[in-house]
Amino acid sequence: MSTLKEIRKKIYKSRHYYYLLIPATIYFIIFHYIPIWGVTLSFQKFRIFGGNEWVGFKYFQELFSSPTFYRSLTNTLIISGLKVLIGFPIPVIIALMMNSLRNKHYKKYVRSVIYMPHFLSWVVITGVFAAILSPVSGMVNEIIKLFGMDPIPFMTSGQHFRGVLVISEIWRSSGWDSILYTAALMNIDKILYEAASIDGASAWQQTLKITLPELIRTMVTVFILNIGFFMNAGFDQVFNMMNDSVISVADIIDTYAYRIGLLNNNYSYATAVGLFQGVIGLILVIVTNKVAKKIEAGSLW
Amino acid sequence: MKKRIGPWQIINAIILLVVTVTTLYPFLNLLAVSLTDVKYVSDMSGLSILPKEPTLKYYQVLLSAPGVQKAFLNSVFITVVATAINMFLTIITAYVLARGNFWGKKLYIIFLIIPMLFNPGLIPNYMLIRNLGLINSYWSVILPGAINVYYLMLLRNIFNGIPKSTFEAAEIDGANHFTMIWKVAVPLAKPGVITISLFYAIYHWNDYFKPLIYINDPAKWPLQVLLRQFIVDADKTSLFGPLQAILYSEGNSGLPFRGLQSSIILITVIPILCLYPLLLKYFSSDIMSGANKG
Repeated sequence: MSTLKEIRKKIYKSRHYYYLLIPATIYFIIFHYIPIWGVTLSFQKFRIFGGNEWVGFKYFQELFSSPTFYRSLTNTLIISGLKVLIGFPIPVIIALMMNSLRNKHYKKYVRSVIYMPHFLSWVVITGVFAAILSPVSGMVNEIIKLFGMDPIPFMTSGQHFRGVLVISEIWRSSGWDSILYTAALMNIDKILYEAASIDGASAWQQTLKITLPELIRTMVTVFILNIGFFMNAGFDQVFNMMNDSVISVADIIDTYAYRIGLLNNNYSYATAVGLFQGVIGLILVIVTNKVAKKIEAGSLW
Repeated sequence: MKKRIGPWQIINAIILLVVTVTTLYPFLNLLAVSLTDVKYVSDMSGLSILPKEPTLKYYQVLLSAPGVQKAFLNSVFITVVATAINMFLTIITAYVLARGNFWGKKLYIIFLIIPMLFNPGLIPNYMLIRNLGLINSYWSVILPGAINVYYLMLLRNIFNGIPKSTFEAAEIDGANHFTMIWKVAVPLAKPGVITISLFYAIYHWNDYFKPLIYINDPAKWPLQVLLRQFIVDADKTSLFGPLQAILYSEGNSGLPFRGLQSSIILITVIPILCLYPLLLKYFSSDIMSGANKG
């Protein structure tokens, strides 16, 4: 146990470290902690002049009786679910395929191409997808026409739009997301493979007994952490790609909060929407991180 | 140990070739459309990657449009200033967290992590910027992302990897924290520092949302907002100004939407493609995996 005096001495000794932390501390208080306190707006009626009036759970009652809110919640869960379900295995497959490439230059080429879309904004990707999915001249519809079928207006068809969201997400992220698995594969000790091949294990057996277990550990961690972000179905993507003809299948919680808050200026209600999402997100992240730690496959930090 | 190349290896290589083509082809098509003469643009197939009667007409028109020029400069300004602030704050804070053995360190790390766990949502952030009087100011875009905790922890772990003896030797030579940061830590962590600054820079270049909601004056918009106005709302006014927008409107003397769309997308992407080789050079997966340790 250190006494108060010892603590004071210790603080004085490392005072320069504290000075260096001042800018970051001010930044976090202003730009992160004040907005966290700002969620109290969801319990208040917003007034431009004069103080806000406390109204308790009024906006939450409104929220939980709004069909549009439930629609956005359902869409969020469906879109997130589809992305995890379909998108999750692809980076693993890419990493495995990259790992078995022999030619170094070819490997480098593949890597530099498939990481690239990760660095493009969703505004750009929306432009690219609007171009390639255009029913008039888009690449995909040109191919569909080659097979003698009618072009599909993907971006404005409620039946296809969620598919567009999933595919464009895969197109953008699966290359970059494969990095985690590539790193896991590189971390496997080469000696294990050598020992196995001396014992007469085939390449297939080596994959099954050495590579796969290591990959599965990483996959479990990534999967669990993905679930932690389940409430975020991809604001930037949906916000840019969505249009009026697909709003019923695409409107997620974030885009709903944006419309209510910044287009209709219903600040308190939109804050309540955000707080609902934030609290569920917090619970998911804490629980999933605990689980990930338990599995001993690593954790967020 | 050299393995023989079997049929699986070839199939594997071919599938990956298809994957890369799927990634690149849309851009090659956009490039071809953007270089095709105005007369032929509407007939261009989405599968074509060869321009017809190549011309730089779209690029000339767009790059000389005052709206585009201003937006380009705005983007450069925001990216450079914001990245400089990012790096200054991230470096000094990461240094303290890596080197400092001070009272309350664990508590401070919790202080940094809480905002990562709980997102208060759009409106509280908007209200903050409004209350600070930053609406319509470049600072509304620059300041909110001044430190990314993930990159901060990444850099802390990279600094942790520098041998303690290096710092101790500098300390004996009478180095203060300032010298230790800029003369010892940063040069020794060069690949990590460059990678992180590129991540920050690309983030700012790509940011469209903060300027969209915080900046009302179109003269202060960065390129991404202009691109969004054009692609999502088919708005030519912000590119050319109201008068020219009528001039360039679809019709006898107008420029077709598809050509403008392809070239403005590429203009927005090219700066990133210029930084990209640098990123590939310095980035390695151990830099990323470092974030999970410690």
